[in-house]
Amino acid sequence: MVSPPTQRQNSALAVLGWRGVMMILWRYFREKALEQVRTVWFIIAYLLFFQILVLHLPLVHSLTIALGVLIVIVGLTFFMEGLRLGLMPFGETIGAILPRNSRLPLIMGFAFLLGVGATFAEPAISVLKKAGGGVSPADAPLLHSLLNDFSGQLVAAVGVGVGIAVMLGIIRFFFGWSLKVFILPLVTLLCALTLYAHFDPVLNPIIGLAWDCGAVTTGPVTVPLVLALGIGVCRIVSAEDSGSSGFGIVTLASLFPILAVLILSIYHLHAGDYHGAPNYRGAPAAAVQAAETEAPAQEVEKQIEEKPVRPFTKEEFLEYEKTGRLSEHSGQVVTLYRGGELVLEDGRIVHRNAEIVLEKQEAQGLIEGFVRRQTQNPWDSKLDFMREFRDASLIALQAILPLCGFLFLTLLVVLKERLRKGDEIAIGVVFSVLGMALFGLGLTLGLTPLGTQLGSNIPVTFATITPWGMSGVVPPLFQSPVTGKLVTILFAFFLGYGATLAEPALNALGHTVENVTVGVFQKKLLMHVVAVGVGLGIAAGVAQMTFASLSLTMLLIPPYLLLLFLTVISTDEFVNFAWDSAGVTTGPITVPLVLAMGLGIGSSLPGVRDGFGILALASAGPIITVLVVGLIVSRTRLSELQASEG
Amino acid sequence: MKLFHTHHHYALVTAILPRQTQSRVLTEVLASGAAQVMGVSARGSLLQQKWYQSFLPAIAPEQEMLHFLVPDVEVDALMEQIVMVGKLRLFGAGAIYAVPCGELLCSDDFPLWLPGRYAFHSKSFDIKFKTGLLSIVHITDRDAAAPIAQAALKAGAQGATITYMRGYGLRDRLGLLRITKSHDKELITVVVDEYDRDAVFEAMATVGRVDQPGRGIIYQHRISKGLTNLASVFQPSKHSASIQQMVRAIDELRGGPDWRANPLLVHDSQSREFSNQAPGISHDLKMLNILSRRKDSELLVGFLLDYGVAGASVTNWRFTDAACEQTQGGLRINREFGSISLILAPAAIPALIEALRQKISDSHMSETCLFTHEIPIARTFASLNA
Repeated sequence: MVSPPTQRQNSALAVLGWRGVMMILWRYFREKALEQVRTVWFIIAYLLFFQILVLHLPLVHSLTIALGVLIVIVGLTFFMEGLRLGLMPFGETIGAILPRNSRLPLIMGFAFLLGVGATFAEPAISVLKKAGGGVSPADAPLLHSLLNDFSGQLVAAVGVGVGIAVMLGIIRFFFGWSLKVFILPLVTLLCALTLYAHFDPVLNPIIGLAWDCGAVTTGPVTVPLVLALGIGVCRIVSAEDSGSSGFGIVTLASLFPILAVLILSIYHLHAGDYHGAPNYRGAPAAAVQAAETEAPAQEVEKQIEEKPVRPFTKEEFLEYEKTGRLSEHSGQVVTLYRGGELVLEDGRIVHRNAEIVLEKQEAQGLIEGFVRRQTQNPWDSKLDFMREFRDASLIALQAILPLCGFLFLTLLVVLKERLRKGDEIAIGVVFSVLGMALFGLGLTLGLTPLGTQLGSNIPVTFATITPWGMSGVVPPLFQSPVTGKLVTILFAFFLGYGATLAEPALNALGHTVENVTVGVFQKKLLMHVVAVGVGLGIAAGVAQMTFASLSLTMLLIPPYLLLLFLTVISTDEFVNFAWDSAGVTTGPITVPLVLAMGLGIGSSLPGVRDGFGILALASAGPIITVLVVGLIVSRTRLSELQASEG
Repeated sequence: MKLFHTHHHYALVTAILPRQTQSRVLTEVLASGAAQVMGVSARGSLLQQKWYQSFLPAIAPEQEMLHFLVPDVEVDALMEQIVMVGKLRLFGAGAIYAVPCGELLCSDDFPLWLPGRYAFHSKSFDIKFKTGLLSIVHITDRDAAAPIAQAALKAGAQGATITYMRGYGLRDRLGLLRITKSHDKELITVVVDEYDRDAVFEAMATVGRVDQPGRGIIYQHRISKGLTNLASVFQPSKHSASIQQMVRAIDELRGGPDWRANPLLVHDSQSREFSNQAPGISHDLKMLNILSRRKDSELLVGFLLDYGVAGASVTNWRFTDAACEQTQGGLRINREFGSISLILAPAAIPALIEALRQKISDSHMSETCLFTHEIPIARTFASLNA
């Protein structure tokens, strides 16, 4: 079986030929694309099902959305392959070289810079910068100032927070510190500061922003990279009997920014240099300008056309005149009341002096009618495809290339190592840029509009609304508002569940967990547990919104106190998995869907603000479920051990 | 040029331990003067006994496989120490076995375990190791191992251990097209009594469909002595735990597992014949193992493929020796060694070793070690005897 040395690369390709190569590539692509279809089909099918079959509303821009969903799948395919081939091996290689080749201060510096760089690269951080325009300086002067006058400081604070987090996360591996040592004081401090902020009228509006900053920093590029780095370090540094070594950086990276933002705002509160305060120096004009640029003002289009009217024939009219009734041949007939005035008379509603009009409607088959409804206005005419694509590509380039450049330079200059398998990693990086660009484009085209439509339509279960992108009003679907609200809560649960399963960062985390534990904790298990947690969190958020309407602080503190308790009694490995998965759940798929739903529900309820509290609960939910599953598993393991020794 | 020395009478001792005990074993063994420990993370497999368990996600036990390259004279002492520290005599506590090596060549600087430095002496600790054991190893694609492990357990194996490794061969001859196929493989290790060998081998080969191309390879190692006490069922109900303990007790009373020989199974001519004549079965092969630093192992695999071998598999071993550095926090900084293994006809081995020696000294690699095992039987989609 040993033959003389041969040119191994060229001969195989020559035999395969062009068609063979294409065949291999096609099979490969199909397999990987199907993998992604399996992650996103649920959320998409579920949203369509709800919009069309439960809410009985047509889907506006259906073709644009279909195209968008297709692009999302292709984008995810490339992105996940890019992670597998390029970014993750790259991070892992550097992580594995780091402990041997360099001293601790150098490693700390590297980790800090990586954290800061990753924050600036994260696409969501620029959204944060833009969001400032919407905040009115009169309601929330400090929040307004932070987002406008001090937006540079805000981003810097978040960056420094993540930098410190990555640094501490890596040092933790060298000293073998438990993650609990970090979580317990940190979360206690965060709860205390949040409570303090709650009772200060100026600081109060900051709470939402602070907790969101934590979620924003851990995106689909940062998470896999940071995870891989940690895994690499732990491959070398012996972390005795723990199967979870390498995790925990993501947790710290989502907790520290909250702290950083809270501290920054408390500083400005005491310095008194925010909008309207004595030491304020900013130009008030900036706010007005920002508000103008950030006014999307969605025009309500006239979507539902007048239903075509088929005229009554002379014979039908004569028959109606004679009998006061129409024969069954006439099909569906509507009765309209035109003009006149409405009066309440002796407890009865009376149409006075109104015309009564009978109209015959087009008789349609069920399928035909369905198709006609769905294909109205299939394209979003306002969408500039090329511009969206260019924006998405720019974001992808900005998120991936600088980080890779930084890592490459570190490897070459600081660690003085050659890059092995450079061609594979280069392909991986190209794949991830391409994938992320397509993914972003697909989200704008497909998933976000779909979620926005449904999110704003969902209150139809208990309130009268104008459906998204249409005119006219639709009455509540259910007679009892309580039933309607319960349906909404159920909807929210599955929305959270489905969206989480599709989240790329969670997929990467699940993959890493499976790899590190040699399949003991399977990706499928982790993802479903996390998804159920997110679903429960979102359902709880919606429930309190529709029934109770608590303040954000009251919403945040009880679950996090419960978390602290669970964390104390859990084993280290589950603490790692649980907190890390919480950091990754709020990603590019979940956030727009949840925010749209929150805004939709909020706008149809009196005195409710927005969906920010829901997001915070969506982060706490998975920690609780993973820790609970962990406790159950540990208990059965313990009893197994006792059974075998006894 | 690095000098290569040939050594004889070495064995590869493998200990499969639950994660809870492995770090204690590792520390104690190193403290007694062991030259090196090579570890790799693994997971166990358990049979699902109750009907509802098939709906629940299985969380397999976490394990660690520790390897030691030990001179024959100290195998007993090492194994006894591990049995003692790891309490391997308890049910479900793990397994340990020694596989004899053929020749062993290593470069001067390789931290080889030399006889005489190991300071553990048996404290009148009377352990009878079993003889007549075999280990069956099956390499398959990632995520394909679970059903094969289940089949092995059902066919009578006691515990199946799964590790992750990387496979090279076909894929690396495709240039950049190689990205379409993953390196990642799973390796299932099962230790069985000779009496169960055919049934387990057959069951694994059937479920793993090794007679089809691209489905991996299955082979056996001869074990000189060992002890297995791996759990094989979920939450051992009192019944199964006690039955396995009873079987072991009778084994000890009778001085061996002979009494268990089921005439029906051993003389089951049909399965014997089938397994001996099926295509792709090869006999009396040798396995060549090459230990080197992780970055060198990638170069060496490339060299092997250029040389013309059909395929090679690489496991990364966390390499801990007594003299390893520590972090400021007192944790060991391990090194990583790649363990390349490939199965060949014995006749091809000397030439390949010579070529490897040349390559190793040409590219100035340090700390390499080559050793061989006997493979009595192997099976894949094509015969390896050719």
